[in-house]
Amino acid sequence: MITLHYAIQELAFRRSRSLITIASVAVAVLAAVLLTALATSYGRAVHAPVETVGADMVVQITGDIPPKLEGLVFPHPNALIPANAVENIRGMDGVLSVTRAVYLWELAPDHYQSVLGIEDGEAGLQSLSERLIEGRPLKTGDSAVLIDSDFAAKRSLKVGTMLDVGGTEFPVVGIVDAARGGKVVRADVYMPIAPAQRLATAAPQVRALYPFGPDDANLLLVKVDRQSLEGVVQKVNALLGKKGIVSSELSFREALSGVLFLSQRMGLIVAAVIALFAAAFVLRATASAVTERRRELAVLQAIGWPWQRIRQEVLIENGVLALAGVLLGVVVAVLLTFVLGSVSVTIDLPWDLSSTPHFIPEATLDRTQTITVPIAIPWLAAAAAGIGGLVVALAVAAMLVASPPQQPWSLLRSE
Amino acid sequence: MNNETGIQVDGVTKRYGALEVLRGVDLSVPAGKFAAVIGKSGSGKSTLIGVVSGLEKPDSGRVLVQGHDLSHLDQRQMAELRRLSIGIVFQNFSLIPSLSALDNVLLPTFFDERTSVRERRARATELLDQVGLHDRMQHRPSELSGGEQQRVAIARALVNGPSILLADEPTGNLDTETGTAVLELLFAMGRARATTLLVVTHDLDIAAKADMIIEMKDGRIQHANT
Ligand SMILES: Nc1ncnc2c1ncn2[C@@H]1O[C@H](COP(=O)(O)OP(=O)(O)O)[C@@H](O)[C@H]1O
Ligand SMILES: [Mg+2]
Repeated sequence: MITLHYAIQELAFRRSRSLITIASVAVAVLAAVLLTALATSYGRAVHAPVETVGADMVVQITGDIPPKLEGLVFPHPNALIPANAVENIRGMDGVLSVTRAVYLWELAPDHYQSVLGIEDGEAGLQSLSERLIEGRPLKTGDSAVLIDSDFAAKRSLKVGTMLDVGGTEFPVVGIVDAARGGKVVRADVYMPIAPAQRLATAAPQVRALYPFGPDDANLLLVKVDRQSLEGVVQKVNALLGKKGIVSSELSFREALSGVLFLSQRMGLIVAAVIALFAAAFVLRATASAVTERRRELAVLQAIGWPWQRIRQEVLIENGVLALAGVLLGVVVAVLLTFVLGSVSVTIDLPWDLSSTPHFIPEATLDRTQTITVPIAIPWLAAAAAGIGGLVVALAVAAMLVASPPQQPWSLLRSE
Repeated sequence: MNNETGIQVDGVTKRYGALEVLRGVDLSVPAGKFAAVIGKSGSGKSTLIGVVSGLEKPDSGRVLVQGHDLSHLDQRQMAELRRLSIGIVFQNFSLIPSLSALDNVLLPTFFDERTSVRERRARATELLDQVGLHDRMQHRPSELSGGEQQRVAIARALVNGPSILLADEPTGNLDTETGTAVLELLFAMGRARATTLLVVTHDLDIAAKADMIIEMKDGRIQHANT
């Protein structure tokens, strides 16, 4: 306790030196925490568009334009995906699940609707039931549909009414929230995959282009282990060639060149560089603090302090400073994230992910999606930064006082 | 007790690079005696004090303090010997600037497990009282005059009741009048405690009061009269 008293006296006495050390530790911690927080938030933001469909990756193949734009057609980016390609993707390392879907546009002279038939599963029917605001969820065997709330309002449809899709009447059993769905792989009408496959197989404008069978799909929602995402995207691109369209947070990130430097890898590099500078700063501050006191430490030796106690004293002093710096850094980081609140990212969706045909005037244009993600302190990173700061400061101090000076007397004698 | 040797130096040599600073010094100060070291600047007086304090290692020869051969002690034992048995007073006071006079005096008692904090404080307070600083205890060194700082240093050197007190020109940074007063105090307090004193000084009045005068010249003892 008495050494702590001495430490505090010492730190208070050398106030400006102490403040410099505290500030450098604080800056290091602040930078690391804030950057990680921003990088994490932007990372979540670019992940959001695909996340809302419950997948990490959306796979499509560019197709041809049907001879006539009437009835049920495959949207241009949704050509038949060969069954063996589906199996191939399903078998890739890092792929957790593949949900197949059939995406259709129905073009009538007086109206237009987009239809998505989808398998069961986390990225499929289940993700729909999470967005259900009225009615009941769809089950695999149903011959029924869910409709989007905007679409329901526009067409004055209610749960219980019948809806014509490609000449077949389907009962509307529920309504899903459009706002929460995001704008990716969004449709006006959702149904289980089987009836959609039947409709596609029978549609003349589909048959004109593709040998679409009753168990085929033209859209894949893939869940991928986040660590393997980059590799899987590459492999799928290689598999499908030029015509393949693979959308994931990586493609959104590329579109966001402005915040690219905050993407996880760059964020890490920037954080590492800042941490390095800060560590150098802490090193300098600590080193000169200890060097300045070499004579004083020799005095302690002269009056009989064992070196181990002297070292302890120096470590306590620097530990107190580093701890104060870490706390200050974290507190300022918390305050700053509170002030900043959230990050907003406006993502211009590629047209091949947009739910509406670009040639339909009423549905065009706004393909942007603004995603707002609250900035949250990544506590794990904050703890790591804090412990890192402490360790650097203590390690430097410990290094400097690792062993007693060989000739303390030469520090004490006066000429 | 008085027949015991307080400080014994046998054939000690020390060189700094090419410079031979101590060239075979033999010296014996009986316990409780006052030895004054005199000699020209550069003759090796400070180095001798350094070697006796164990803060400087001799190149050859041996140093015994209270019968302990310093070369046989490890770092921790050496520290303990210095803390409990050797008090040192420097020319430049060497107080810790961040600490009050009282805390400075308490420094050598920090790890004293034999006595309670209260006892140690009582001891330190009494010593500061004896050196005439009872109203200066909470002052920092920068708030004290040179003479007062050196009095604090004397109190600090004596707080653990050492059997040996070393002083290297303790008045070198003081004016003559203050210096004499400080030396008188050091001498009186050492005597009162039967402490072995080894003091480097230019003050011949004080040297005259010593039990022995050791004159150094070119790293050797020129004269030692008892
Ligand atoms: N650490 C050192 N390195 C080199 N030379 C030193 C060192 N310490 C002392 N000296 C030299 O040794 C000689 C003796 O010094 P010192 O013992 O301080 O003499 P005194 O105290 O009698 O003046 C001087 O010439 C001094 O310059
Ligand atoms: Mg000298």
